[in-house]
Amino acid sequence: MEDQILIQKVHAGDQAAYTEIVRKYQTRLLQLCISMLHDEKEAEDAAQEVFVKAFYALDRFQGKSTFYTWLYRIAANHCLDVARKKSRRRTMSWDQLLEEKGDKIERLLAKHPQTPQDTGDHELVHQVLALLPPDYRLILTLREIQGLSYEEMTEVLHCSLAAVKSRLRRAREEFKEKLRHFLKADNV
Amino acid sequence: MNDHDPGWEKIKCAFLRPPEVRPSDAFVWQVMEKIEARKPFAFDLSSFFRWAVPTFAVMTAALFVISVWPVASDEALAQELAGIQLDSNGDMLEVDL
Repeated sequence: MEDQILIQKVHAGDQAAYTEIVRKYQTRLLQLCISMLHDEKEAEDAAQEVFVKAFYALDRFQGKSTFYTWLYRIAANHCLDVARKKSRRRTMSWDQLLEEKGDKIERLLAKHPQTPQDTGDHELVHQVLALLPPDYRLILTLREIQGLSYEEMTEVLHCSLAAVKSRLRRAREEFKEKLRHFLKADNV
Repeated sequence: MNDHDPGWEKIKCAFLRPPEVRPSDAFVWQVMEKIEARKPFAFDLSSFFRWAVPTFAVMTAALFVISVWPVASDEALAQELAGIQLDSNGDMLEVDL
């Protein structure tokens, strides 16, 4: 069912319509939260909180953007808050991680794109992503994991197209810079 | 740097894959439960009858007990203090002033 119809039903007091909305977007929102927070339990709590916030803010949704970019904006702000608090408690540095797990990172980068990742890989991915600044993590998640278009990203991040492109470029450059040693070794 | 940078493609494949997530009814149920728990109190007639009528009945019963019990004990106490004794028919036997 169309989002607009479901929202109208929720406004009319039909709470079951909101369960449809949650059902429809739970996977994508959970993926966003996991990519941002690297902890499944925390991500689940965050995603639920986003749906609760969205429910009580639904009156303020004016339909100027699509519903899911509006929902993503709430999720992005919430995850950024949580991720910033978490990054203050960070214990490992890039240099430490590269020194301790350099060989594993190299192996992961050399894996064929279709090869499934195991639990150890997932853990390493989380450790590496957790070291990126939360803003970079968010923009990379929206673009590369969620597959949002630049226009959708302007709505979610509430900024201009030029700002989105420049932030995305900086995030990619920073990520590449951190892993330059492994990429050079592979002659990429 | 564009979307087809081979170095970037390698990083993307290794570190930016969508995490595996299975949709669950429990998740939906928990969200709806949290929404319900945070709903502000709203007055309506059915909630008034659900809460106010039993509360009113209990309060009335309590008031009745309170209003009856102290009067009886006060009367007995007053008689005792005044030295009044009553016979079995309730007539006054003596007044000790």
